[in-house]
Amino acid sequence: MSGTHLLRDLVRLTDADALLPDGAGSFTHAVDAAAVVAPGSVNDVAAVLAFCSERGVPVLPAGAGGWLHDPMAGLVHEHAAPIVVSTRRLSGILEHEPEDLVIGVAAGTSLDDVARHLRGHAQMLPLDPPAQAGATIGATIALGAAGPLQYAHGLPRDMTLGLEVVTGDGRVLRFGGRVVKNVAGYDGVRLFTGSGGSLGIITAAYVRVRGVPATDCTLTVAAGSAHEAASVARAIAGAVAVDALEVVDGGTENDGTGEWLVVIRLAGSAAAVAAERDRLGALIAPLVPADVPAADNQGFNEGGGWNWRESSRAEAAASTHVRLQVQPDQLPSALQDMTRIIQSENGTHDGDWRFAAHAGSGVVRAWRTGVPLDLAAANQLAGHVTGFAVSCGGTAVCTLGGRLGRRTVHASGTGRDATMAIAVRLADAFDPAAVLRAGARLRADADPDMVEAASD
Amino acid sequence: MTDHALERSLLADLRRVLGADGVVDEPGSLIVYESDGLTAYRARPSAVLLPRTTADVATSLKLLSDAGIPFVARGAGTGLSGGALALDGAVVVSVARMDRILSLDAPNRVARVQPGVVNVELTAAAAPHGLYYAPDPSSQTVCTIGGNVAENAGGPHCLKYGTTTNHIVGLTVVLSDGTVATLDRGASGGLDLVGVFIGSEGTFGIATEIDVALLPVPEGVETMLALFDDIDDASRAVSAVIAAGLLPAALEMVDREAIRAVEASAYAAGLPTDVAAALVIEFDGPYAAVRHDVEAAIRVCLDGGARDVLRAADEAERQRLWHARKKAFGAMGRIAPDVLVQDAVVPRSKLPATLRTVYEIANRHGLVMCNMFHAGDGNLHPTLVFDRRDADQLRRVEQASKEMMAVCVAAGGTITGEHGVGVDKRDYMDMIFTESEMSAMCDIRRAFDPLGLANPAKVLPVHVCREWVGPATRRGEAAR
Repeated sequence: MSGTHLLRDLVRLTDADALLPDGAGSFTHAVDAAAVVAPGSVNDVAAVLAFCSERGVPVLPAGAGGWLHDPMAGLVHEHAAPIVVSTRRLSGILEHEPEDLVIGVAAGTSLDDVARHLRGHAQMLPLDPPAQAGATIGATIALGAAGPLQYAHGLPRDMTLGLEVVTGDGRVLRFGGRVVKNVAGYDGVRLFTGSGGSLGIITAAYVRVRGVPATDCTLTVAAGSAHEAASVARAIAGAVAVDALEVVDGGTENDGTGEWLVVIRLAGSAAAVAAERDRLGALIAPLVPADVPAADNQGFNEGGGWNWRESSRAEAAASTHVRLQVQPDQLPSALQDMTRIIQSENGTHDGDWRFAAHAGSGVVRAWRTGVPLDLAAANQLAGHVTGFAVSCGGTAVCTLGGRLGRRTVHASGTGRDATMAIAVRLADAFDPAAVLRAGARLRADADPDMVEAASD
Repeated sequence: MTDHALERSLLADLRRVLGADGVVDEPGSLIVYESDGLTAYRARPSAVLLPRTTADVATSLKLLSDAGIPFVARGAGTGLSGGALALDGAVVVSVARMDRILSLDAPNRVARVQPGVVNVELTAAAAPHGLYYAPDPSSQTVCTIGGNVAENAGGPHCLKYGTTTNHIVGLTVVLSDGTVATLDRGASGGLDLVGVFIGSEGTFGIATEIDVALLPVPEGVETMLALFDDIDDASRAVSAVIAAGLLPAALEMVDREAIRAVEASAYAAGLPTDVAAALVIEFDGPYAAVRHDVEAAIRVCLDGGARDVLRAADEAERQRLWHARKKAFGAMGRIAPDVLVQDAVVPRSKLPATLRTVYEIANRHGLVMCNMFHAGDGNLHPTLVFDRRDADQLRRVEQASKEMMAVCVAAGGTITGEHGVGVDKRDYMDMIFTESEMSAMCDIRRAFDPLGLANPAKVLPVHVCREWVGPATRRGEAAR
């Protein structure tokens, strides 16, 4: 299929505004796309997918494009370059009844726009994934992406009540609804949430929202090492009611006192927050070692210049991300070991590594700014990370930056083969021409870096 | 011998795996498995199996699938949608003997349990560690975790804590051909197959090991009863509490008929029988948060027209109050021989209007009805009491049920909030799903159960899965 004919066909299926010029926005930094198209309606999305499915043209779904990566990275392949299908023109609030604490949103609406609308009703969506400005709610749900607020509020799978999707072959389906209790039929909402665009494109979502808390404050505690910070955080997790609980390297933009920080977010009524601050103070005093300089106020700094939004943007803007999931009680040793492993790699490359962890769920994150890794270096990094994940019985995902794709290790053991068979049948049902999975399928066949961990 | 009696050789093979007492086929012993909590439906299984391990289940299902025999898993049989009904001579696979807690990891707040573990017994086992299992359906003293997984069970505390799917982090399931699959939530980039399996009502396979998340027992808990002389005031107060920025652990409504039934029964808790409705509101969490929220909720209720708000004075009184709410359904049995409970959901903002319409429908059909339900999440349980031997009453009950469901769907709700589709609501699925959507659900089911042997004829209208060969035909083929 020639390039010109393809572009002409895409315009015919959508409208003149749908075809984004080459290099448009953030899309083509990450992939070599044949075209970038942003349909203006759900029906146009369906028409494009049906068309691509019939002709075997690979499709990469995207919102604003900030999370796009090349699924074919590092492989020798012969296939058509993909079309990027973006939901950015499917934008806006569809339905909001404030007293129901539910909002219906078009998938291409940015998280920032959702937040702005909700603030006008003293409400909020407690979803704060590391994301660039403009990141969409549809992409967030498709990736199951979440940030520090997952500690108290859960993941996208816990707050999504309904989805409208377009399947790989262009069918428009709706699952769930706008009510919090719903067990009619099978759970298509949880099927598509976190599916990474491999089954279809999310075009609308109904999500639970909350009232903005009366009080919302952030405190930091300094610690002398990753291990110590994570241990302090685990102690807090067992004793204090918090909204978010992070361990971060004290590095550059934030407070800087001590090498590592525990960042604690408290939210609720004024009385409740005051009580938890007291509890925190009682807990921290005996834990912070004497040789770490303590601030005046009970051993922690008020705010300390911590900015949740800035740290989220910085994490998202990095070119390379590593994410390791371990049992929460392993966090101190896992964080300590992971930082050591990655930093020993760092000596051979230009770039700064930053580290953080979700202390409640046991997720260690590392990200790298500076000069992007080349393929050899990326593969070597992935090998070390996945080897470490296998050794501690955890799982890991390395997103190596745009054109370098992803590497994954997941738990395996008896039962994995049957599970894979189910997943393939589901994918075949929703994407019969495999246009949404071209990368994944080839990678499963050919990628030597796809590692499986032994489970207990 | 029934029409669906199993081949003697198959029974012998099953007994070799499960032991002589692990296979029940004597007709007198099968009667107790003929229905679940929805006693209007009965069907006798061809046999009942009582496995103890994942391997038992795997070998048994392999034997059944080789013979083309369908099966239906059964927990405690308290389901309210006919999901455990053994249609077409299916074999019941009871998980009653799979009742062990295999491991409990207190620091990481997870436990691995067999499906036959009773819901409250899991919480009891977690208690010494300061932990508990949050989903608490009203049948929790007898219902099983396996059944909870199959139905995505809820309960009064799901307003704050979510349903079963928010508390399960891993599953081992045996598929209809006997293979064992390990499911997770897809954290490392795969699909959330745990999420898809939960609520599949036994039509995807049998969960034989369940990884549950446990929560710390809240520091404080307080329960109150707000009394209203006007039903509209009560249902408006539900939204007002939420709109005040409060998130109760539970927010239930009971109406006058329900209160009278409970107070006339063994579960009497001293509830006043002259109110139009009462709200049971509970807050849990750190003491300071609970104190603040309780006082705020009392103000909201009094401002909203409550006659009075009573606070449970101690733990005993609190338990008595909950006992009354949870046993109210059982108390209905004193009023009439048969009870039909609806399970529809509407957005909370539509609750006052919907409730008024539901009462109007019941009155118009001349039916006795009571309501005790999860008002906080808009999950209505209009309960009709009748005698099914009176054909005219039965007809009016069925007609009223259908009208009530239509009203709830029209208000933006759904046909089932927690009881499941089973057999009972299978033919109402087209009220909320298109043919294309039901066909997609058939595809989801086939991905797990290509053979069509796992609890067939449940959830989806049979005409939807067009290429599906029925179990009787398959049994015929296998016999050739």
